[in-house]
Amino acid sequence: VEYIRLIKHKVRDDEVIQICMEDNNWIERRFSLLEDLMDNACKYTSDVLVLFVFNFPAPIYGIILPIAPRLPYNITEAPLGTPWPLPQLLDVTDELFVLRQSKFRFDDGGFKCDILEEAFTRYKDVIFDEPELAVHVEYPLLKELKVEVTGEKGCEKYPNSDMTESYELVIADGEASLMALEIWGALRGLETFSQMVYQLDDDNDGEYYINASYVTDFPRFGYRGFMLDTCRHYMPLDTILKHLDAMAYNKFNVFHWHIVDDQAFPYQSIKFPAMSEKGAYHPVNKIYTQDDVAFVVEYARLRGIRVIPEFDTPGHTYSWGKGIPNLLTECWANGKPRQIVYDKHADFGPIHPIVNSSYEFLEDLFGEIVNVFPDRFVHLGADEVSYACWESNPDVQLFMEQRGWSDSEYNKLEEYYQNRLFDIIIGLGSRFIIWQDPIDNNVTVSNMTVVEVWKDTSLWYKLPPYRDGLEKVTKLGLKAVLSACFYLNYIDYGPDWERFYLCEPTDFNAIQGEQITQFFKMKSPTYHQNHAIEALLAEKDEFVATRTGSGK
Amino acid sequence: MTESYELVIADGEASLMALEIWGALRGLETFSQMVYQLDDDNDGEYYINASYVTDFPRFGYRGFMLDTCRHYMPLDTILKHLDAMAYNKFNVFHWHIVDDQAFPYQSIKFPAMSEKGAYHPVNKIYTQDDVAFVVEYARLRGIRVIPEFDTPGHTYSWGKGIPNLLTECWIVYDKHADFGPIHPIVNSSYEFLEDLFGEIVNVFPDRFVHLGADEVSYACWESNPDVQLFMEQRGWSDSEYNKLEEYYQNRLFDIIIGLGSRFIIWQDPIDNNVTVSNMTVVEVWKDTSLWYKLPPYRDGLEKVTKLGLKAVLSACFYLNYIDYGPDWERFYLCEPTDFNGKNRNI
Repeated sequence: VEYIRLIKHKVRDDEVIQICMEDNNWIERRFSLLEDLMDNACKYTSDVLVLFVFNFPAPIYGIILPIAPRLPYNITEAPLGTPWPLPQLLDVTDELFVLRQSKFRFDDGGFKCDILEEAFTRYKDVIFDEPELAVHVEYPLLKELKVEVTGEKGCEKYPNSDMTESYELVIADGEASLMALEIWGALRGLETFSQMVYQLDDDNDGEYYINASYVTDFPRFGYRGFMLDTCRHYMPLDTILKHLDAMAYNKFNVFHWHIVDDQAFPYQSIKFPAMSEKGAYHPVNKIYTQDDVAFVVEYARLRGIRVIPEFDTPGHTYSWGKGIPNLLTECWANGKPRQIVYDKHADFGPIHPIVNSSYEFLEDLFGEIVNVFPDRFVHLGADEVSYACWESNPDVQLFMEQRGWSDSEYNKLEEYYQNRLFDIIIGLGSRFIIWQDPIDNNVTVSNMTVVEVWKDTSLWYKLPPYRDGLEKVTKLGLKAVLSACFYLNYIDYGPDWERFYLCEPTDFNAIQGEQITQFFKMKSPTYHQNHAIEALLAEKDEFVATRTGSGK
Repeated sequence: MTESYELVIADGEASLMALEIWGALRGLETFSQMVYQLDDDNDGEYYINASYVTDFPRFGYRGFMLDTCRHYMPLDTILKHLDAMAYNKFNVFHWHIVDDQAFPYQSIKFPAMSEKGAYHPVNKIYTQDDVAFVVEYARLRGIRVIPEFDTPGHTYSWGKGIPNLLTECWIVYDKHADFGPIHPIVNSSYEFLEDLFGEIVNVFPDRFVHLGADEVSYACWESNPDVQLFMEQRGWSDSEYNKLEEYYQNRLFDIIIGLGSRFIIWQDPIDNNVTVSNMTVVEVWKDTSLWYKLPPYRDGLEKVTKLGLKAVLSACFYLNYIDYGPDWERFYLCEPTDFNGKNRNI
């Protein structure tokens, strides 16, 4: 959208820029902060976005209008039963059918599949969430939805990176059918179907309706993920499961589980129990047992959601060092090891890259991880590796000298670490995603790497725009995942969904003829407040899902 | 109530003394926080240090307001808030229970109000049992429950269950909706209010009710010919709608006083030069930090206390203005007594 380009103006500390549209032109005015903005307002109508751009020194006090809206919004509401996200093709007629809980069934046509059977039970409850009180007989009854999975793969076990999620849904003449190539498309179609059944607002009898319709749908992007940080705030299983439900409602298909990090290690490892014993916020109450993990993986599987765990290394590993002594680089100062130097490094730094024991440990740990998490992919992190600790360690310095790497070439050490780790993962038969940082540090990575672009100027003015990251990654022939403009954890007062909605993943310069397989991902709130998170997710999931799950 | 207490932990003998039961509750809370376990002690032994504590609150009204209208809050959530309040020694639960958007309070006398006005007539209401549960849960924690039934503005949902309650606006989009504040010129409005508040003061045992009275928009009243006629008959000019507001408020105050109750209102009538009963408690909510056009809260406090009225300050405590990162400082640094006045009646 045009006005976003205008944001790059320089704004002085004592001024405000007001940008609005008058007579179809973008008009920009600058005022001193002392002037009365509202009196100098452009010809404001409620249809037009007015943008104020200003700098405030921290702490920031919001400028907010009183919260008593007494004007009705000038909008057109979507008709009842409109699914979200909007399918690629949705054709709804005026012809109505009614559904009765006792007289409706899903028919699998003899195709036995646990995922489908579970979905039938689940969606029946979702659709008929209230008892119907009385019955009108004016409309024909819809008695069943026939579900057909036509492809050879049949009843697959786990969702995967190659799955096909397209489906076709026909509701006509008292007969409804859902067809999909794969079981995953059937799940998406059931979700859409469940959203198309509705009750009337003012009908206290609670009759269930659906319109004769035709739907064709397929996702714009194959990887539609949601990341949860369960390290910085431990999240009870309950919360994670609710997130998975919300994801299913919005057709997300990847749960990126950022399970451990610097601050805590809640994953209870089979081979290394000391890691959670010593590294979790609480060794019993704030951990994820193998049972917990299995429960999450299964819950997600039944919803067609892949679970990709992130074990971020070599940085972001402070808590790992609690359970595995000698894993992390010791940081030196004043000729002594394990010295904290504020603003430079803690007492321990990233994983020690120059000793074999580190790689033996990683092979053991990831050997377990790829078994515990069935998805082919793991997320290896690789972000924000601070070189300060490595620079301070004499053994590391020696290693660098032996290799002939100068003091400004610590990215070569990072490269050395990463590539040894990649070899381990490849050796285990798995694939991996990393954050964009190694690419930015000119580290050469395997051409099987998927790179997640998280940096954007909107997060911090010193970061480059995300399109630069996407360009760089795809130019190297690597697949990209975009999460940079979807940091939902940057909470704000008032309706802030627009900036997520307006983020367009394909908005960058791609090489001609290159097959751009685009993915995207959202980063979740790290502040934990059960209800607030649900509400936040419900709104934001929907808006981001609309933009990415279907056509623009 | 008096909430002071004295707590002594010494020589294997601990005693808590308070003038009133409320002080005992506060003391128990303090005691419970002084018992601790060590971080690195996996045996989980409980410790307490020999100590001496004297405590009393700086302010007698330490409230927390929940808006259960704009978003219906399940009972569970409200009870958790009450627990959190007890942990922090808050003593007033200001229940902003209904407003423009929805009317979840299931009234005994006027069931149609929640039937027609709630987001859902069964799943998103507070039954009499729910309300009683909340009042009791709060009582056991020494927390008063003061409901807010905000009038004459903020009443759009009331009009769904009570036809002819609200002023009809002669529609001008951009100024007002189809219905406006409670119709101030007919006796039926005041008869209804007397009935409703008659019920409310019985359902909620606290002596105080919150009457709202904020953000009364004159635009609808101005558009209604009957109201215009009423104004003419009284000799009030077009710029004196605050006199109509005053007329409404004072009739309402008389009702509440007649029911033996006391009331709190937001500062708006004072700002509109409406004369209010000298028993009124006024809540100051406006501050420049909320909107640059609002005056600083100390002006509000000064004005209210100069009139000899008691004030409650909430202006700098709008926790709903969420933000990324640590934002507690600006709440912490708000000093209620930081205003000019000899009569620091807050």
